[in-house]
Amino acid sequence: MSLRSYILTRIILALPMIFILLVVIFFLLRIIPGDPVLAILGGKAPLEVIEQKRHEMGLDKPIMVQFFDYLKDVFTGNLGTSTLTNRPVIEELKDRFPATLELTIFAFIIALLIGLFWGAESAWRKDEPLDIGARVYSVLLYSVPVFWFGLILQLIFASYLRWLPVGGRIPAVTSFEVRTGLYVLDAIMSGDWKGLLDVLRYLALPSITLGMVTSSIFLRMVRNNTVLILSKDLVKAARARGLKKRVVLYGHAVKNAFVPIFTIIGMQFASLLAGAILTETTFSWPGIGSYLVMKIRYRDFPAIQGTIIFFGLFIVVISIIIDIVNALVDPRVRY
Amino acid sequence: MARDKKFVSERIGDFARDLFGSGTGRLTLIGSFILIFYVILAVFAPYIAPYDPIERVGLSLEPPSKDFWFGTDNLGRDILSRVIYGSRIALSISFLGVAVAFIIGVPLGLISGYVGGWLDRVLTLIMDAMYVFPGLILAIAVAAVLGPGIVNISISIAVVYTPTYFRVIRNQVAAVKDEMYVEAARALGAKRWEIILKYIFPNVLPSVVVVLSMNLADALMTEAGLSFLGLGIAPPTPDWGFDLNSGQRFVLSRAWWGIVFPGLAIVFAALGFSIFSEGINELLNPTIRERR
Amino acid sequence: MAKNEGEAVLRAENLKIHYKTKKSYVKAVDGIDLTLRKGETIGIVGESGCGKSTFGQGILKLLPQKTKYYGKLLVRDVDVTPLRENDMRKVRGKVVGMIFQDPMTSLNPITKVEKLFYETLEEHNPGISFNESREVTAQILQKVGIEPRRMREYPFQFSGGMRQRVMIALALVLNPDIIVADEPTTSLDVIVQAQILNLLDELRQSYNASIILITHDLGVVAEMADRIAVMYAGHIVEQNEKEKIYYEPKHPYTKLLLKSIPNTNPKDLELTFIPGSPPSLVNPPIGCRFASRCPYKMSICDEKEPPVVEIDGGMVKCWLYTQGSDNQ
Repeated sequence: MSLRSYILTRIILALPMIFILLVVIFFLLRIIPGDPVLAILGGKAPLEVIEQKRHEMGLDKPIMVQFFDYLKDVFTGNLGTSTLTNRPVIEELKDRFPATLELTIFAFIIALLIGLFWGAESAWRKDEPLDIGARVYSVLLYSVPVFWFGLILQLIFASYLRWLPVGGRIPAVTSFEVRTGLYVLDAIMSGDWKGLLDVLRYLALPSITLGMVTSSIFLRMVRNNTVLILSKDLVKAARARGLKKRVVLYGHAVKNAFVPIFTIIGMQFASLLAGAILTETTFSWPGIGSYLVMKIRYRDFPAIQGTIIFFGLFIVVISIIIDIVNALVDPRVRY
Repeated sequence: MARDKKFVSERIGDFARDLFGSGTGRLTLIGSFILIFYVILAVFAPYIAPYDPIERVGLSLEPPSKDFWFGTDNLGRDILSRVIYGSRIALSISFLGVAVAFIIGVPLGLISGYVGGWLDRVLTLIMDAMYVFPGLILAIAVAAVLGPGIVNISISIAVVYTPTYFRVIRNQVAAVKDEMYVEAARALGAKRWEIILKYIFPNVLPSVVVVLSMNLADALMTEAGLSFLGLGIAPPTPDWGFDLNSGQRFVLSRAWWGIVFPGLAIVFAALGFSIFSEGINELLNPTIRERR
Repeated sequence: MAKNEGEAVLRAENLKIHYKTKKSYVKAVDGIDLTLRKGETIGIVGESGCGKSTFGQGILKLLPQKTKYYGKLLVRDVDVTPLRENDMRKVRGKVVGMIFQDPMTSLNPITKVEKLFYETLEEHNPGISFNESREVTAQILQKVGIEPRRMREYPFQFSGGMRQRVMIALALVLNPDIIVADEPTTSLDVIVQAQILNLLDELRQSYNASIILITHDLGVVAEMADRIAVMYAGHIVEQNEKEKIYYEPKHPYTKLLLKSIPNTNPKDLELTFIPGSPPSLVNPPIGCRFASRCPYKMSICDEKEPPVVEIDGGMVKCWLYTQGSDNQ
């Protein structure tokens, strides 16, 4: 199978998944006891006002009609209108998404780099201090809630040492032109190095927090899988050809160790996204995570539902991308 | 996409085993000590805690001292007492959440696996879709609709873990139901529910107990996350996650004790629960890891 | 090939290789003497666990870091036992090439064949271009009977026999003097086995290389080896020319080993096996290591390690042959 048809197949296979996801979100948010209208207006609102609101939100229609309206809306890219700001939810999400994307991409890179190099070197020097350190690091960081870890880093690096800002993303006015919304990219494209440094200073703590907590999983997976591969003949054979450690370890052992890791990396990204909600709240990072939390505080139900759908779609898209990357690394997937 | 999702506890357990070697017995012991320690804290909180956790008993943001071992928070409340009382919310929500998930997930799994066919396929699809969602996001969605409160938060957490029970049970039932003794019972004219309850349920029970113990640490972390986001228990009830919610204030005023102690309470509990469940896992069901 | 001719390309002198397990050292190779001459093929046979694979991998020092080497192991007159990893790398592939048992696990399945060759060539000839590497690869693939265009494929797309051909080509591409083949055909089916053995033999001739063929299969050594060394529990108990070993075995272990080969002669359907099992190599017995299983055991066998006796143009390590020699 060519790579292109593999990608196509993978996307087609994702469609029923998306559909079921939409169904589950819809019914989950309606079946469970609790009335959004009452929640918005509070228990003491007059009956007419409640009915009025119910009608506005389309909640007086039969549930199946509501359901099809919802499906139609989602597929036409309409995620409803925020009851708080009266803006389309999709627009608000578009404004906020780059911040989350930037945070998660950097956190993911940090997690991968720590996991890859520390994991590989630990496997190579199994049971030596570096390896034992890796194991302690994994078990500790994995038991740590990401938001608490963030607070601790804030305390040390922002409050006591004053090296980095406590939170936020960047002052309201950026010194560079915002094109993609990914400030790191924008600053580089504008050639604004001072601006880039500023952006990175704000990005550092949140992405390190989320990245380090996530890295504990990668580190352990890379280490254990690499240990397994290192005991195989393909490593001995590579060494027998006189290859140096770098090539043996990264070109052969880690490359093969990544095959099983790839199948669960999508899952890891999903939990990274959940961690992003907490991290964004800790650092007042203006992404969709803190957006969701804010909307919950104001009981803005269309926005909440829209954001959850958005998260769902994002996860599906990421899993497709990861499968494609997997197919590039491990050609066996394609054949 | 849904394969290979692991529980927090399972992972921490794996990590711990990497660290301490294969001393399963030792791990179980350490884990159960921690678990018992927290249960004692929760049950006897009024006798253990030096102060009322919701009363102003000192100045605000007093650092740890002889009078206030863990210092005081911004409202002058004793943090040690709040941490001790906080174990009540943490434990009751974790236990309740897991119990609800059990009560919903197990019967659905039993029926789905045994009856099979159309019902099974639909239920499996739905549960799989829920399973793919990161637990916290799912819990946030449900908690947002339900609002705060112990029962509501427990339900939100239950929604996250119901698919886990469902999947474990369903797959086992589907595997068990064609075995000889079930066939034999059916041939003897046993009723459907009788077969499920008398013959199948006891067989899948061990794996359920393992999942149950593993869920506790997950539920604890999810609860902490929810209440950190302000979706948990209404103040002023002491709650570790919520107490960290005001952490930003502590950061700026360099009141490290307001952050460190509630957080350590969570970390220690999560570690203890995980180690415990890891031990239970191997004692009760040495093969579950491979089977799932 | 006539004996004692040609220069020695590899010589082990009282070589000991002790590798570490959790608590103790396993004396897997415990004092062996062996000389491999240019163009010669020596078969090393023995049961699994006798130390033959440890010896094979020890030549390239591929064993875990904490492994200890004693005695001398001269590879083209350079003693490799004290060499560190970086110096050892220059020997690996370039002077000694190695072929492993199972090409399914010894050939990285997800790296293109051309890349496997490139990284190997590049390591020993820095600055070689990818295109030059491809030309060399094409030639050698041709020689092992693989269409050069298949170098763009991944090893997982090859059959077992084809993979082993790739492995052989990889071991030969730097034109090494010595090839260590560790059970090169064990994982292959019988017809492919014969093809691979023929290929190895042809290549040995055309490259004028020497081969150390490690196997438990006496049939394989019968086809290819000039000389045979029989290993038992870390020792070489007998070595001689192939015909001598087959038709006039001296050591009781060799005799029993030969009887346990299944053959197709209808009159000789009875298969013998050797009762008992080899001793632990952590604390090997002080006397002859085969004594506990030996039908000709004498009282001295349990007390003293037998000397190596030169006999009939070969060597045997057994008390039965000490009368005629002068050293006792």
